[in-house]
Amino acid sequence: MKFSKYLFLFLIVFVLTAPVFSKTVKAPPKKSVHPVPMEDGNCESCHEGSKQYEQWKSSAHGLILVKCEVCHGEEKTFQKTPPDTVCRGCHADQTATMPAGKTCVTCHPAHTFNVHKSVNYNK
Amino acid sequence: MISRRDFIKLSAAVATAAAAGINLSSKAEAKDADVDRWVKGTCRFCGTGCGVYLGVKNDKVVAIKGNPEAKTNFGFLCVKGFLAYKVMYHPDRLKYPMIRQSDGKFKRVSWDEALNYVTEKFKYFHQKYGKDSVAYYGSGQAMTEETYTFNKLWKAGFRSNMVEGNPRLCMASAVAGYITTYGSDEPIGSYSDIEHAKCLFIVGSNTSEAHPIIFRRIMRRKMSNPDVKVIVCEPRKTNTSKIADLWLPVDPGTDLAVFHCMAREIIKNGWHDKRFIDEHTRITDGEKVYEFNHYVQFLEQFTPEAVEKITRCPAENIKKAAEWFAKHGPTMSLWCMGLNQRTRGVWANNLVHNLHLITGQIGYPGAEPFSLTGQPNACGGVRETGALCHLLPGTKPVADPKWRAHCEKEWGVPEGTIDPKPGFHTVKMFESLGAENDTTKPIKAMLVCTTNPAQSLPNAHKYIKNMKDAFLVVLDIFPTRTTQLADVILPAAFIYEKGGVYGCSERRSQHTDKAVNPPGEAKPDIWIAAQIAKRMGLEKLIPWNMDDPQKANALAWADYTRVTKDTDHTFAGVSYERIKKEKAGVQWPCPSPDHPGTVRRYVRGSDPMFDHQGFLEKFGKKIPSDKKIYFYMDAKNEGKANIFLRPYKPAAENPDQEYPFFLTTGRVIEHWHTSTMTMRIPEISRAQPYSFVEIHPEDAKKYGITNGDMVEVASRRGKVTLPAVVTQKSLPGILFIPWYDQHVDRMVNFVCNDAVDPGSFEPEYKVAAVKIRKVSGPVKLKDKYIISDVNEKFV
Repeated sequence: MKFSKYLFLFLIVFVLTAPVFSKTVKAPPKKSVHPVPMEDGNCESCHEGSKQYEQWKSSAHGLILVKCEVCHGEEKTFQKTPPDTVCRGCHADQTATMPAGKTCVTCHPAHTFNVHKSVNYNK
Repeated sequence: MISRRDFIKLSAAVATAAAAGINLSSKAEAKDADVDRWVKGTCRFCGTGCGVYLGVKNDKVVAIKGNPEAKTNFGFLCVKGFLAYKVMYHPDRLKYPMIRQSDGKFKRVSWDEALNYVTEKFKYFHQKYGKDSVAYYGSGQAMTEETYTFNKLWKAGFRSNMVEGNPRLCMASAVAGYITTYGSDEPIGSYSDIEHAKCLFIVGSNTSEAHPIIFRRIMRRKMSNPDVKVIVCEPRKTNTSKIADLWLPVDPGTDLAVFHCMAREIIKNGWHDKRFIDEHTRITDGEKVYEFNHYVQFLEQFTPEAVEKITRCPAENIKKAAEWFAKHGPTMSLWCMGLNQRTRGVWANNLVHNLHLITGQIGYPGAEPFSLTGQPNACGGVRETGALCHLLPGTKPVADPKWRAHCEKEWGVPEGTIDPKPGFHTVKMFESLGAENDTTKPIKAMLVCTTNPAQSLPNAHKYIKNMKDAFLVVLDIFPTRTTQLADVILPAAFIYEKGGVYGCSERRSQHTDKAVNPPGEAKPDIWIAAQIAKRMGLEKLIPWNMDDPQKANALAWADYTRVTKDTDHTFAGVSYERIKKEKAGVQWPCPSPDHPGTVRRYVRGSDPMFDHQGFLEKFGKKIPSDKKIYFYMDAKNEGKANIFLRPYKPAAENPDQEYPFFLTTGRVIEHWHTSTMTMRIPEISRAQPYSFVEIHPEDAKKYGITNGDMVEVASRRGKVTLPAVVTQKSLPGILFIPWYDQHVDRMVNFVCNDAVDPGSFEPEYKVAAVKIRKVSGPVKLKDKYIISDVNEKFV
């Protein structure tokens, strides 16, 4: 009798906490197509000079030429808010230890991304 | 048995953690919903050597991420590496062997039929026209094991040194620069010198677009340490110079004068290290040795004012650069094609080494003359396995009888097998290639592997007919300008479909695991090489002809590391098992399994060759026990490096009345080489759909050119027509065209000069004299140009 009580308790706890134990980087949401046809243009054709563009340009991403399409895709693969699986491409360590319920941009605002810049090459 | 009390405590702890959003699983266990497994590898593109993981789901690569433990990139990727895997599934992938028929069209055949045809032709040509009538032209993008195999097959099997590779077109001057200065190829230090340097001299390199992830480290170094001085020396004010404290603009081909002037300033102001010069160097012109005062006298002509007249580089900038180089060290120089792709590329390399040697800025953290290698495996695959016409494994010359004898013994071939005479360098090879009945063309057949010479050779028009007339076998993953000239197309597996080793700029070799199978009947290059060997009676020489490329690679690697085990390039301590496991690869020399690899050469305590008995005995080296720094590969066995007295010589072709502009060529971050891969990635082709000509506003005004106008750029050799980008990025009189575009109207290598450096035989892509005219206003271009149909003619 005692054993089955413990087993029942264990199962309850397991079911409630299992999603945390197997931490998943969420599958990307359904992709949205770019709001307007891009025709022959690139991102700069329309967005150069915008607030986001200027923020990006002065950021580390801007300096090392991580341009719009790297994170947002292009017309057919456009994502307005890239999921963390995109950030994972360069920030695998950080996305692997993401606090539950948060995404990269919760703390690192687009497009300056300037919170907790770390210097990490002396490994 | 856990007690009831403890069980409740544990459950409560877990539930509490969950509620607080704390993840109790480790990084390594984190699962990604979009990926079944991650496979370790390296990036397909540049010589940085970024570590990656390929995400595989349902036997398909669906994602990529940087490897945070890789010591090259620390997990970061540029746009090309980030999107590389998309290339693998493009519908244009070559899947089946094809032979061109008499009607000019390709017909799909079996591998047996293709390989039998190729080898029968090779045997025929060998018999009728001699062992040197069949050439191999390989690539700094093939795996080390593959290139080693082809090189062994040709040099020990066919006894022919007609083996070349595209690193001749990009790194040969750097190779010769290192060998003439220090006696041995490749850098002394490592990328980690970036994080110790206090002065960074970036010369002839647009690092932010050609080596973006190395630029990232430079950028971070500067941002974290604003007192670090960054000097950029080149004709254009590129994105790289955004972090520069000083730009030294120079007319293309004139920078030799700037380097000499900097040396003059350093010595005149007493900023040189005379003790280091006396102990560790000699002054030479390559023949005679001179006193230091002779060098000082030689430099007198290079006054800042005189040099400003030759180069257009402001005298004050040169003086400032000299001061920072000498006094704001440790100083690291980084350079690339701007120095190498020149008729005086070897001299340009020598003169940058000179600056380090006269100031003693060498052999300690941050003090490093570092040549950036362009391709991912020019170092590991071509230079180190000796797959050039004059070399053998270990980067040693075929002309060396002792080393020939050593290789013959290791390879189990009779003494005298290896030809002591070098074959033809690349330009000469393609000049000598042609039709069977053309007695002026001694090379009748060529196997081209993982490269696109029909677009990448300078003065390309000259070589197209030769390739078309010869028996051309092309191994590639997509139709290219070169497959348009081929007689046989062999479909190749992509890096992540076969695995293998790449060795990057900092002497670091890293392993890629096979992640997925190749499409259709595409095969790894190593299998193709081994099958050719088998069908030509050379199975004993190349026994690794199994279907599994990972087994074949392991055998080839074991063979290669055994042959080179006592050289200063040794990987004797790196078994295939080890290199597969190492998260960050290994830097040579690595003489034993317990050795971690070498961060810095020529320094006792860091470089294992100081105590390597096999090396010291085999090459008759004696390193004095009191020497901390010793250039043990010095050809004169004095442990010294050479400070070279190189005369000033400009480029082979300079602007004149008829052709009044300098043209220089280069890259953009999005595209790799001839864009056969990158133009097939939608995000990239939208960002850079066609190439263009950058022109200074003053020049644009003179010619009535505004942004987007179509401009014809013509040299004595050929012309291209492209849209203008009017920009202040370079000096008036200098034009820039990126070389990636495959469209025949915009293939800039029709314009470029194939004059070569007499020492390295590397062509002068970086300097040509051109004229321009406005053709029209903006037009709708045939952009994002790729060749999809193998039967499309070369037009």
